[in-house]
Amino acid sequence: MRTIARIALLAVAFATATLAFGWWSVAGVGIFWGLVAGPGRHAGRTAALAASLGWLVLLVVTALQGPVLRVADRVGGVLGVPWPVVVGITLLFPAVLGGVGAVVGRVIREGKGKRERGKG
Amino acid sequence: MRNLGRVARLAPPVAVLGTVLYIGACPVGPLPPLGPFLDPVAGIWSTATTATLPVRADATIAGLTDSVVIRYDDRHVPHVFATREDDAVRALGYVVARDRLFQMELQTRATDGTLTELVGAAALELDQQMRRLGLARSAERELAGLAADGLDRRLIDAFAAGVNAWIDQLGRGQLPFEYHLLGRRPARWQPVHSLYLIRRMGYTLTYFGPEFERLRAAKVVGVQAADALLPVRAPIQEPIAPSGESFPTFDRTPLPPPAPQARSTTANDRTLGPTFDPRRRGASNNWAVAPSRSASGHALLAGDPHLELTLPSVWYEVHVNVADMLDVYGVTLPGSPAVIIGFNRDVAWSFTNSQADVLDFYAEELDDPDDPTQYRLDGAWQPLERRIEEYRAANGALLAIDTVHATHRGPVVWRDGRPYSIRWTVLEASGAGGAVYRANKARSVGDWLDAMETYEAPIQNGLVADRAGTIAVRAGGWYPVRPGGRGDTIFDGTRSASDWTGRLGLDRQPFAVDPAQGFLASANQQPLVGPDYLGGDPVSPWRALRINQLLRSDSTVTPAAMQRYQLDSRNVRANVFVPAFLEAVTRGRAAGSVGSEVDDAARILDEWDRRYTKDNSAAVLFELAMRELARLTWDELAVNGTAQVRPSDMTLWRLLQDPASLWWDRHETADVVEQRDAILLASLAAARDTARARYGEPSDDGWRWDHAWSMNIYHALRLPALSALGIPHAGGPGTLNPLYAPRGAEGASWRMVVELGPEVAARGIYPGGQSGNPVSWRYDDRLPGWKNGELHELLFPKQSADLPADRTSAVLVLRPEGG
Repeated sequence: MRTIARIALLAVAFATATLAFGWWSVAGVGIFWGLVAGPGRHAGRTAALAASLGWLVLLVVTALQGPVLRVADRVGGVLGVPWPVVVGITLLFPAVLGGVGAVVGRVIREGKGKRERGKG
Repeated sequence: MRNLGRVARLAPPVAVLGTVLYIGACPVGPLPPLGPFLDPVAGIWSTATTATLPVRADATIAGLTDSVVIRYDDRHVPHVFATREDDAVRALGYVVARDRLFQMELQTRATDGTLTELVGAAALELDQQMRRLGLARSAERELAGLAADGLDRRLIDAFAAGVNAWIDQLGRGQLPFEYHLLGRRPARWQPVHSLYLIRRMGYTLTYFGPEFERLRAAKVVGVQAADALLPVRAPIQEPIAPSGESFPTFDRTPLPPPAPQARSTTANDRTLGPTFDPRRRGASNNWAVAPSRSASGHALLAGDPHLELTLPSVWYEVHVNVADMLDVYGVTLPGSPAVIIGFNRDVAWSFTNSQADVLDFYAEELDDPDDPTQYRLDGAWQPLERRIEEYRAANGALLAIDTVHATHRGPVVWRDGRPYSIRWTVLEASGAGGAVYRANKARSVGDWLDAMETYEAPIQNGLVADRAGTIAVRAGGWYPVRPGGRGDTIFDGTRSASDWTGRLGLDRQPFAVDPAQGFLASANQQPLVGPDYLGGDPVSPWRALRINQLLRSDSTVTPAAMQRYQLDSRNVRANVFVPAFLEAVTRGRAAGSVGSEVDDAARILDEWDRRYTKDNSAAVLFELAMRELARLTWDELAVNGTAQVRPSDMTLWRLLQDPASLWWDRHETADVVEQRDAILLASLAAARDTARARYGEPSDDGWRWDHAWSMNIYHALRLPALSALGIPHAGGPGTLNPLYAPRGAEGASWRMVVELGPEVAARGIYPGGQSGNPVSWRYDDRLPGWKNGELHELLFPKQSADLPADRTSAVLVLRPEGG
């Protein structure tokens, strides 16, 4: 349950950052998450899932205002791919960006932790 | 060492992150930067949120003096209600940009030759052609000559302010679809861009070089024969300005034979001289009926300009109302402050292209062909105007540099390594926008004609009717007067005596008002049978013959009949040629020289009603037979089997009158002398073979017209996914509802029928929709209706409150700053 709540909150953070600052902020939120998340190897995967979910929420909100599937269909037609591929790439892109960002954050945190443990 | 270890651990994820950020921020190949493109808030997905206009919107625009109310009806037509003209035009700029911003920028760049900055190097050749012609510089010269407080200047300034107000208010997520695809932002709209439009239209309608075709023909078959093949005076006459004589007339005099050398040289030896750009096929219809011949006793007017069909459409439908000053409805070109084709409370009008010759070529002598600086004139060297043009990519990278030259006549263009300067009215004309805008306010035919007196180019057959029952047509504009009269030749550029000597006076331009016949019609045919040279490239008059035939036979014309005429698929061209094929078959049968295949083909043609209905099988056969007939007949004009000059079907008809003409004899059959019937039968046989090879047996539906030919409406960027392709169409070459080969991309770009009764009643449609957003259902919502031949009722409320609430789809209120 805590994991689901954590992913949901993180997804909201990704969505809010995208809304406020644009697509690149997904990387920033990912790095931040990597820095503050607890120990373990799942920071990257959690961030990837949450970033994807965050953008999915934004797409759903957009769909409430207009024909999102028609956009996917038109873009797919232009690029020569089926529309689900367009949706898939749209969700995959923040996942990679957020996930890798979180990994970077985690490596920084781990390096810092080791340094501090070394001093102690 | 510990630091090194940390760096080693950090490096891979940082490198991956950097790569993803790079792909997100920078274009990769033809793709836009993925980050902003995929962004669900501000990227391509946001175009879903602008697919439908908000039901109610308010905006503030600098420079407005009073509020402007814009009500969109249920067809998404904005009805602009303003209290001052400048405000109305400002609002018009705003609403057109709201729907068509990308199209406006694309057509601007297509005119000033900066497409590469939007779409990349693929457009370099187009840009080079435009910059060499100098359409944009010509517009800048016109702008510089406009009085700062004159009407023309005020209109384009106000329009530009409206467009830029929209651009300035564009928020994140409001960019048009194509800007996302290209990864670009909109450029600001300059007043001069409105002046580009008429020049671009002039390029489309008048940039032809029949002189080169005539030259090439003369080289092969002699001057006399070339003159007959490409006649200045059309052999079939149905002029737009009736003179009281009986029309149509048919000139049956035999064609002079080809010069002997045409028959003595082999096709591969021929050197025909320079070619010119291929002809474009756009054309148009318009006609008006006087009260004496209408069922209601009111004047009627119909117009359907045939242009390249695009998505979004070249037209934008609008109604502009300024209390007591202007109340006009119709279609405008996005970027123009005036309605181009339409009506007001008293007058309706439409245009067709006049085919006038307004462009001449001068063979020039330059001092150094590789790097010219001077041209010879009357024995002395004159300095060439030289300008360096730089072509840049979207990222500012230099793609190419070009030196553009001009003589005192105009730009220098090169053909087959030879320089020609051109003089072209489209580059020198001015005041078209103001003339059309003043015509928008006309209260009578007389007012309209007065307003259009200052219109210069491209010359149009302006057809107009009013509520008082007057109808008139004038092919008015700037007709150059040349030394020697004719302009269908390449002039000697080294002599100033070759220059134009004046303009044809208004009193000698084709004109008719209230003719005794009770109707007027134009379909790009030769406008006048008179002494003056107006043009040397007449269009075959099949559409003109058909509409005159229909109007002569109906003395109680109704708007519904006008609509039927616009959709008419009967082909006079087939009426003329099918009997020739059938008679040849009859004679061939008698002589025992007809095989079962030809018999079969003749039966199909004989049973045909000569309508290009979608399900008929004969039109395909006929078109193939006509192509074969031209190919076999004009073999003297082919090089390596490819036609270098193609006389019109009118000339072919004239040749049919002479069964033993030498033109029928095929060059490649040295031991046989063919005559007319042999060529007709061979054409029919070849057509049948081709049809079977391509489409199967006629009984299998493969020859259905709509299987073989269709209409293709391309998106402005030629993206198939945003286009409407393969549209079945009941019409073909020469029918009133046309379909032009080979791309099928031109057709009736706007259909309008107006009845000028006590209250003006109008119906109209164009293929496409008002919105330029491919995601919006308004992008192509009119296409089904256009395909089915429907006309929509055009709502024309006198005031804002008169537009019924249940037919109002959105309201936009524009307010002045601080208002």
